[in-house]
Amino acid sequence: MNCDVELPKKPEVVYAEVVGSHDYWFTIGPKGDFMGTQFGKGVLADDIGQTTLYDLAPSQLVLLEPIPVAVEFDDESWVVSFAEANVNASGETFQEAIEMLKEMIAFDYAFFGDSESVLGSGPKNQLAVLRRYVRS
Amino acid sequence: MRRKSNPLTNQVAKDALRKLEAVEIAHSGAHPKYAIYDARGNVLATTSLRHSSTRDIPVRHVKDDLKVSLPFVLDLARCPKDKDDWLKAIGAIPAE
Repeated sequence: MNCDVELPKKPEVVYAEVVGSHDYWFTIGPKGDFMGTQFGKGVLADDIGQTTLYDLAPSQLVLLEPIPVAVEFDDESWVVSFAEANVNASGETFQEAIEMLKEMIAFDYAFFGDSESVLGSGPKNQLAVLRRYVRS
Repeated sequence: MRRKSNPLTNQVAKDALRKLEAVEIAHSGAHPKYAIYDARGNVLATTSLRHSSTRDIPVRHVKDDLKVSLPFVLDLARCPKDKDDWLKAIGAIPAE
């Protein structure tokens, strides 16, 4: 038996993407080297990754530019965040969390827009960020 | 498989939101949504919970929506902290 096999180092960057109905993870090593693809739930617990939203379907809102999303998984649920606008969501699957995030982005955009005259400073900043990324 | 205990559940979040006098906003979509207001009616935060009949599903995103830490949300739900503490924590009223 060969015991000289070097264990893989923990990847520093993880990129997540939804392709069809699967959650795909593209793992990039410390030097930017491609380390493999996996899909399914629970393969890279505790790692923080990122993905990008290119639409807000089923909402009719239009994206002015792609939305960067931070992704976290902790063995029980996925947490996804559009950090700049402080819009966050979670789900049992990556897909579920992303769908909830899209729903919340559309909700905050509409609700903050309708409530503009009574927004506190936090939501006011959130609306300003959302308007840079989204229009109706 | 290693499991973590996830104390920020739908039920805990609901208790914390009740403490903050959050108002459920009618809106289309699958998830219940809430807004939190100050005494003058200004919107300070929004959040949503996961649609489920299960009380203990994790909703870790709520702490980020409320702009506070996990222990802070737990303290809201379990009583040591109240809405004034949260208003101070987010800078909506001056801290003493």
